[in-house]
Amino acid sequence: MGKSNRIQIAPKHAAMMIYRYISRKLSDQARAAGFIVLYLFGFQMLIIGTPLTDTLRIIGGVVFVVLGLAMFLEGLFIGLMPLGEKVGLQLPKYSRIFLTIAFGLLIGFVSTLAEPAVNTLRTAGSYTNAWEAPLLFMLLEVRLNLLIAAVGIGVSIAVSLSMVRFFYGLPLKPFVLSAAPVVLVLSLLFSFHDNLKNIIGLAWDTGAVTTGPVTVPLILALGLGISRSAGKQDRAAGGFGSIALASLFPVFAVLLLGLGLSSASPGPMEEQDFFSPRNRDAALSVFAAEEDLKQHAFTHGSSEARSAFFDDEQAHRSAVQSLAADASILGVMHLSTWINQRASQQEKELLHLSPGEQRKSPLPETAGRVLQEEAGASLRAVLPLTALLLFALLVFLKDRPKYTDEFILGILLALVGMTVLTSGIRMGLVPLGDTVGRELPSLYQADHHTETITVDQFDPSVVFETIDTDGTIHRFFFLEEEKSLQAVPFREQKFNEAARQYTFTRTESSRFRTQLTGFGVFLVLLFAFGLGYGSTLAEPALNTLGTTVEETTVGTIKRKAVIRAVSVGVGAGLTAGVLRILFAFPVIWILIPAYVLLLLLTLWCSEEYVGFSWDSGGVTTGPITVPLVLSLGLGIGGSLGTTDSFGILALASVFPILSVQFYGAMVQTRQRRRMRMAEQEADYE
Amino acid sequence: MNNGTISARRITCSIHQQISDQLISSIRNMGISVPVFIESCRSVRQIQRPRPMGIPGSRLILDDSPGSRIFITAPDDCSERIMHLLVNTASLNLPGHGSIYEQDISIFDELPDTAAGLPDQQQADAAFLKDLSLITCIVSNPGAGEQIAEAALELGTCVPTITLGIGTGIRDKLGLLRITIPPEKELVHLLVPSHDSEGIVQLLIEHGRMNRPGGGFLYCTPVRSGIIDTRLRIGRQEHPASIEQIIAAIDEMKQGTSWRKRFVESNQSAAKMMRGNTEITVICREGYADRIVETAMQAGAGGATVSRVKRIRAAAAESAARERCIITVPGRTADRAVRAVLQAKRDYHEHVDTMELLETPLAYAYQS
Repeated sequence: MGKSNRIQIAPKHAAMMIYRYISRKLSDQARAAGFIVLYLFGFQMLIIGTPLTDTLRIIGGVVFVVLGLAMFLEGLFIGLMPLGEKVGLQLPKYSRIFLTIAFGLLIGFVSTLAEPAVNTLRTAGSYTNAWEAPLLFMLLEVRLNLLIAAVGIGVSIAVSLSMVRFFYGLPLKPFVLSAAPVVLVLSLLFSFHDNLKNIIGLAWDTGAVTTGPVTVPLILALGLGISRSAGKQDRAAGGFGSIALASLFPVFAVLLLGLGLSSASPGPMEEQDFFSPRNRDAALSVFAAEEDLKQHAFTHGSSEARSAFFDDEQAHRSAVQSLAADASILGVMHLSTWINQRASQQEKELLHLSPGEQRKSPLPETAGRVLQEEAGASLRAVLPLTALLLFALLVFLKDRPKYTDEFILGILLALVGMTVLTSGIRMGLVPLGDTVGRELPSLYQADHHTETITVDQFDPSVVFETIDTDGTIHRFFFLEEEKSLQAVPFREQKFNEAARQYTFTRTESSRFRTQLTGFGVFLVLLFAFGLGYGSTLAEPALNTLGTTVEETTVGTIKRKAVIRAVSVGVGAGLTAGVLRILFAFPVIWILIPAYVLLLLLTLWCSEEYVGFSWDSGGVTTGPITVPLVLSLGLGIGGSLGTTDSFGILALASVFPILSVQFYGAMVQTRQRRRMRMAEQEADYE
Repeated sequence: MNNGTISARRITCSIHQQISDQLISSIRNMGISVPVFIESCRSVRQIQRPRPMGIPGSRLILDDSPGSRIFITAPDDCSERIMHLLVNTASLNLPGHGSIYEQDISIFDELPDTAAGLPDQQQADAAFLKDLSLITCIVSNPGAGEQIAEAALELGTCVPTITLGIGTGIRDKLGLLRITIPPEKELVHLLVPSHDSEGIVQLLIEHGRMNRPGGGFLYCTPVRSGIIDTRLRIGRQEHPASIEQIIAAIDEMKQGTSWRKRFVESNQSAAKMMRGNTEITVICREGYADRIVETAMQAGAGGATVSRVKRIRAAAAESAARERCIITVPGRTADRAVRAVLQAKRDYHEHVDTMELLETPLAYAYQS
């Protein structure tokens, strides 16, 4: 359109238009984010009741979240999604199928590198004990690059397979109905293996987190474009399902990688055995350096792990004493936290601290630094993918975005919006979530100090011997206490022969289970549900999915209904995940029934609902949900000393598929019934 | 108006999603060689629900059902046969299945001979109504389409059909400021008795708040004959026949709707209508609509709405994706605009499927 055609708008009117536009966008997002913010504040004040520190900063963060959401979404809608759709529309016209496949592979790999979810996974695994899950540890520490590569390959194959699907207009059903059972059966088989079973949670979580807030809308738009342009089917539905495959295939890839590495990794063993010098070679296959192993002994192990590590009591002591001067060995952990959680009585005495003494907590990071870091992450997430698509559009497809100015503004908005959004989350929502998450266990747990028990007049003749399948001999004895028997592993070094005393520390989880109060558990589950529901309402990728669904169904399925169905699903998934942590049963116990139900529903539902239900599983776990879910999982998991907080994210992405499909099935039956009603009435005429 | 135009008919058929697959496959097999296009739509009905929690009485809520709209450009001589075929295949005589109508249009290219390929003449077991008009409302405010649909349902006119489109017009002349106006439009299609049409238009303007800046655009085109979907309301029925069934029965006996002429009263002073407009419809390949619309705009067209449609029976190798531009031009500039679009059509002739003109006796848009 030539400049001569421009209408001149008086600045006053223009300002009015801009004002209305901005206020509309902001109020939409304020409403979307409102629930989770009010919910967290409400829970904090009414139930937990501890005063908030840094209220001003948190409020600032919340304002940032709303601003960032509005900008990021607008950037997606006017910049990134039209670009993706344009490329999708042109691709089948100008290129042959193998070029499309190659392009899909490239997009998949670049998107994995651009939005590495690895930090999320490492955070989720930060309570993992290397001796209990060495293979898991190996993947997250030494073989991290392999893990990223596996995920990248999984996503690439999924994306390019989806492109082929759209190209030929193939339905999604056969793909998920064959891929999901394979992954499930593999997971089930893994669950019988001591070492492999620990990576199931990781694998499924990887599937959930890989598809980030930039990848999802882009792949969605690309798929819509391709299926529209190449689609041989007459109905407009189509273009969904790529996100679903992009969350399933990485699971498979990670499981396979785990299987491949399992021979190189030592099996799970006792803490002391793992850290002992005899096992040093095996232990070092899991850690990059001896220094890291030492750090792990400090941050995760008990004092026994440390005494095993140093072998010689003198070295152990001096290492502990040196902590007071230089706590760098603890890594990100704080000395005060270490003293409270890990140090034994003797170690505390070595540090010359009275047991209850608290160190000052660290100062929060400055807003400037957070913004700077998040700006870098946003650049990395937005630019490579955009550049790839733009390059393909300009060079191969010889086309350009419809409005250049709008496109540039869109990219800028996406960049700034994402920076502001993620910084806001880090400064506002996460601290709020952390406070609640940390205090949450106090709702159901009266006291969670580790307990040192000393048995006087210990007679070694009560010690039994057992043998496991490998032929290793274990020794244990029974302790009778308050009329209940407890088997306690027996270790020579804890037995003071001269004093005839046996001293050991009791793990918390066994103590805790007797203290689960019904009401406390209910409150925690309620919190988990609301957290999942609220944070998903604000999730930007879900908003784009909802809008796309509303457009392709010409409004028969409303955006709000999709968002609500997904949010309820995430809420239910989180509740299930928390249940799993509380009662310490394997993720697979929930995953398998959920997936079986899901597959049955998929068989029954019509194709158009299947596509976006499966996609909604992948879009749920975005920048708002993940950190909040992690702080919840870590809060509860950390207090219970469970192996890992993995699996929550996986559950938070299965349940929405289920809930959306339920919703779809409901709509489908309703429509069929109404149609039948209309026809029956007509028959009387 | 223009020399070199050929008269033809446009058949539009809105049907429920569940029977559309069946209808499309029979269209494929029918041997219709004229272009057939399809777009997704939704139709809105009222549904009677008991009040929640056992409170006596019932309430009416709106219910959306998915559907498809099929357009066929047919030569005068076999249009009726195609209509009868479609009615019989989709059982459109049953309320709730959908509606069908044909309009007189002018086209520029000779249509392929269709009559030979069609099965023998069949008589539809439904009566076509004569004096009907089609009202098309193009609105952009969120929820405005729903309001118009509700108003139409309350007036008992027909089952409104809603489709989506992207508006171009004033928006493109604003520079970057355009992002403050959402381009997404909802098109509400209503089939009404033609003698009531002006009154209904007045009411819709009022209900849909179209008499405000940015309120949208509305126009009314004549319909040659058609069948209206009379299943306006689903749910418990208190009488042996619903009022819609009775009206439909009398319509059928009287072969028309003129017996139910009524006076539709509007509270506000009548809105000022534009008369003698022309609707130009161009269906072209994906990506060319912008260029055609631009040409029309330069030749004086006020605005255009672009919708996404698919061509049924597109040649095997090519894509089925099409764009349909509806451009409405005022009478005085119509000739210029038509010539300009025609030129554009010649320029991109291998990418344009069809160009059609439709008289638009009545139109309304907010004018300051």
